[in-house]
Amino acid sequence: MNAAGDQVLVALGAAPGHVNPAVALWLKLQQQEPLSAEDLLAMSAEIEQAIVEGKQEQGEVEGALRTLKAANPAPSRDVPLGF
Amino acid sequence: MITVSQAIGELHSRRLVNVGHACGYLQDALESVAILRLYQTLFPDDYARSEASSQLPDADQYSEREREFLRLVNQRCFPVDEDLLEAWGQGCSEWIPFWPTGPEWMGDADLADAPLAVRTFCAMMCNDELDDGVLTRIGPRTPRLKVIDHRTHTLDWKRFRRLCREAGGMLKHVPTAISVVTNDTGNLWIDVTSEAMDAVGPFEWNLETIQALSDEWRAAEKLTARMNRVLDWLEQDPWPLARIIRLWNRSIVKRKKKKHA
Repeated sequence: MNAAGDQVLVALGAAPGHVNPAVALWLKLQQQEPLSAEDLLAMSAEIEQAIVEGKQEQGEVEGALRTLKAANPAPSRDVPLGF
Repeated sequence: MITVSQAIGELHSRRLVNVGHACGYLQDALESVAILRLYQTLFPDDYARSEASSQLPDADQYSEREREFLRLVNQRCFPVDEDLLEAWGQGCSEWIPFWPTGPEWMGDADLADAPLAVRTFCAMMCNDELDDGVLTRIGPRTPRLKVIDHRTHTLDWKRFRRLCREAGGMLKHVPTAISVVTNDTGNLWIDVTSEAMDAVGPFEWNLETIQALSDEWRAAEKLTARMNRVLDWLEQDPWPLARIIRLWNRSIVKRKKKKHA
C-alpha cells in the first residue's frame, strides 16, 4: 500500500467510536420508557436536533461510501492475511 | 439470574436500529405531543396553570389537556367541532378538525322556507327566475329578475357594486351579503360547505395554519355580521329588494367581442 493509503487507514483507525445522534437518542429513550407526554415535551428540542443531525450525518456517510465505491482500485503491495 | 428468553428479549431491546428507523421513532414521539407543544406556545399562561392530565386515555382519544387546548382554540381562534370538545365519541386526528360554518342555502334544493332576500340573492347568482309568489311578496311593481344569456351578456359585478355603493345606506352592503349567502366570498370559512368539504384541507396542526385559520375566521365573522344586518333589514321590509333587482338588471351588460389576432 502506498503512503497516502496508509495515512487513510491510520486516520480511520484513530477515529473515535461514534453512534449516529438519532440512533443514540433512540437508544436513550428506549431505556427510559415508558415516557410521559411531559417527558417528551421537555425533550422535544433535543429530539428535533437529533433528527436533523442524524439525517445530516447519514447523508454524509452515504456520500463517503459512494465516493469510496467509485474510487479506482489500486493494487496492494502486501498480501492480506487470510488469502 | 434471568431466563434465556428474558436475556434474548433484553438483547433484542438493545439491538441498534438503522438511522431511518430511529428518525421515524423520534418523529412519532414528537408528533404525539404536537398539540401540547402548540398549547405551550400559543397559550403559555393557560398551559402553566392547567391541571388537566396530559395522559392519553387511549391511543385514539385526545388527552384531557389536549381537549382543553381545543376549547381555547374554539374560544380565541376559530370554531372547533362541538363533538370534539365534548368528547362525544370522536377519536383524535392528526389534522385540525375543520368543519364548515358558512350558510348552506346554495346547496339546498328547496328554498321555500328561506328568507325572501336569500331566495332573491340565490336566484341572482344562479341565474334563475324569481317566481311570481316571491315577486308579489316583495311588493307591487317589483321588476322581474333578468335571466342572463351568457352567450351574449354577462353580469358586471364591479358595476353592481358601484351602483349599490352610490345608492348608499344598507344597499352598499348588499353585494357582500349576496356573496356570503351564496358562498362566493373567497373566505374559507364561508365558501366551504359540507358538500365541498373534501375539496379543502386537511390542515396540519402548526402555528402558521392556526394563524391563517384564525385570521380567516375573523374576516368571516365581519362578513357574516354584514350579511346578517342586510338580511335583518330586508326581513323587516322586503321592499328594497325591488330596487336591488333593478340595480342587478342594470348591471347586466353585453359581452365584449373578443379581438382576433
